[in-house]
Amino acid sequence: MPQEKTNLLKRIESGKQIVTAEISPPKSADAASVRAVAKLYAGKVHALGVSDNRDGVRMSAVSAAAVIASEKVEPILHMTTRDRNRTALISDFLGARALGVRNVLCTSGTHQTLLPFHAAKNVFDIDATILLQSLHGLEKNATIVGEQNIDGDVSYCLGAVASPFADPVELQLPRLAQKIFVGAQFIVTQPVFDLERFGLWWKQVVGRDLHTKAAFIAGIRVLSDADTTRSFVEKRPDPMVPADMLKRLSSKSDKNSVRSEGIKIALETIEKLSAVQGLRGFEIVCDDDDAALEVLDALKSRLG
Amino acid sequence: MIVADRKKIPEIRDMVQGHNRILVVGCGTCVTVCLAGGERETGIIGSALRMSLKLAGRENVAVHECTIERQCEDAFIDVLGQRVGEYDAILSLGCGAGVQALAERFPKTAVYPGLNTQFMGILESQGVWAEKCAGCGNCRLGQYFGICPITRCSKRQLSGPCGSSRNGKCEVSEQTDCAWQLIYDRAKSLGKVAMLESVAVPQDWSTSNDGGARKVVREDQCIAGMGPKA
Repeated sequence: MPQEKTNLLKRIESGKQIVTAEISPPKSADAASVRAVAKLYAGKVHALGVSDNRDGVRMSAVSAAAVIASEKVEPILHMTTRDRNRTALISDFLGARALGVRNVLCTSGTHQTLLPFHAAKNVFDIDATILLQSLHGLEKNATIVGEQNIDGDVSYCLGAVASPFADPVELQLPRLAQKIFVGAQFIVTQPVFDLERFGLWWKQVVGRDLHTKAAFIAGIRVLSDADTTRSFVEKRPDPMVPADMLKRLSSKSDKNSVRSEGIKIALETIEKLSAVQGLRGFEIVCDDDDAALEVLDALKSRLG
Repeated sequence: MIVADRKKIPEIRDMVQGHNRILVVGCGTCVTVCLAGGERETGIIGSALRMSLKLAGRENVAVHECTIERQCEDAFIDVLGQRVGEYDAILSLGCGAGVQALAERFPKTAVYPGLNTQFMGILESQGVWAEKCAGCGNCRLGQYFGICPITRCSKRQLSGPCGSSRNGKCEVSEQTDCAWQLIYDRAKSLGKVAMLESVAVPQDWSTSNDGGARKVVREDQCIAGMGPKA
């Protein structure tokens, strides 16, 4: 019996603004800390993204997302193709849904050589586009895992990542179009700092009419300390933080002022992006939950 | 060609130091071309190993060298013949295939690798070799305008570039070209960019090493009654 649509999907279909945040599961098996984080974000976001071993090994994103769902906060499970083959990904997709996790963001993930587990073998059996296609069509065609079809319940919501700042730009847009064509209902961009480049990219998104076919959510990373930001800038290739932003953060002498400046920059970015016609919302990302929540509170009063 | 590079002498010394008579065997094919295990390198590694063993108090170990035309083919290993019986260990400067061919041929002699076999690739510039082929058993270079995303894209993306390609370089290293930038550039020069708009077919890895160690069997070339080994 098909379940009803996820709240995120309902929100997407409503045409209203969407506010999400992204958290990383703990580097432990501590479910209580996941519950505590879920409580912090409850009522402040339409859905909460759960990253998949984004910057080091963490609690399984499926498990953390299930704990979050049990707290009545709707999770968006991130699934990277870096660590699992098609069998494991599809199996996890089914398992996640059995645990009440029905929004899934498909991504390839940062290469493991840039992360602490750099000696690990990667998988990359399929890429994010093929993963989306596979998950989306399981009820009709599961030949990718040697089955005719599996799972008649289609009450899930799939998303993908877009890269406004990546090259070659001539292929990034077709790739994005492919992701939407094969089933992405929402698109989260990599963190936006460089608004000029974002504007150029957005023109092409609109030119291909992609913004009417999926809900585009702009990634907003709150730069809450200067050292982390500097390491972002040094760690190529993303995110791209303009030099003047880094200068603004570096000019602050104490930690609190840097944090306030980071929040200010995030809110300014949101303010400017709010004028972009067709953009559907924001995803707030910050290692400092309190800073993320400050931005969310400001965003809430702005959106009403 | 198969590209390899030399193991460090201390690692080689630690592997072989329990032996008294060691034959260092070079290979005259790929590893000669990539300057890792040809006649010249065999002489150098043999001398360095003698010195290293001497410094370790093992000056009585006999280390001799020879180079054969091709270690990966039984017919060429014949020339080692009786000589191997005089040694209790072989240090192969062939690729991984060569090391294993010697091990199969001489079951009573210890065989050690003197090289780290790297990849199938080409000489990019003097002293620089680059990986080009992963030997997946299901070549799709025709779809990708002669640039292999399975080998040269760090994430083996078949549908297009990942979100971390910048200025033609891969997120893994500024020294590594983004395969998808190369694919795009080549598609553009051939006037075929539109072909990159379609969704890729997933790779069937059963033809690669994921399907288990492989054999190529040419029935028309097999001698009757002497088909592939079990």
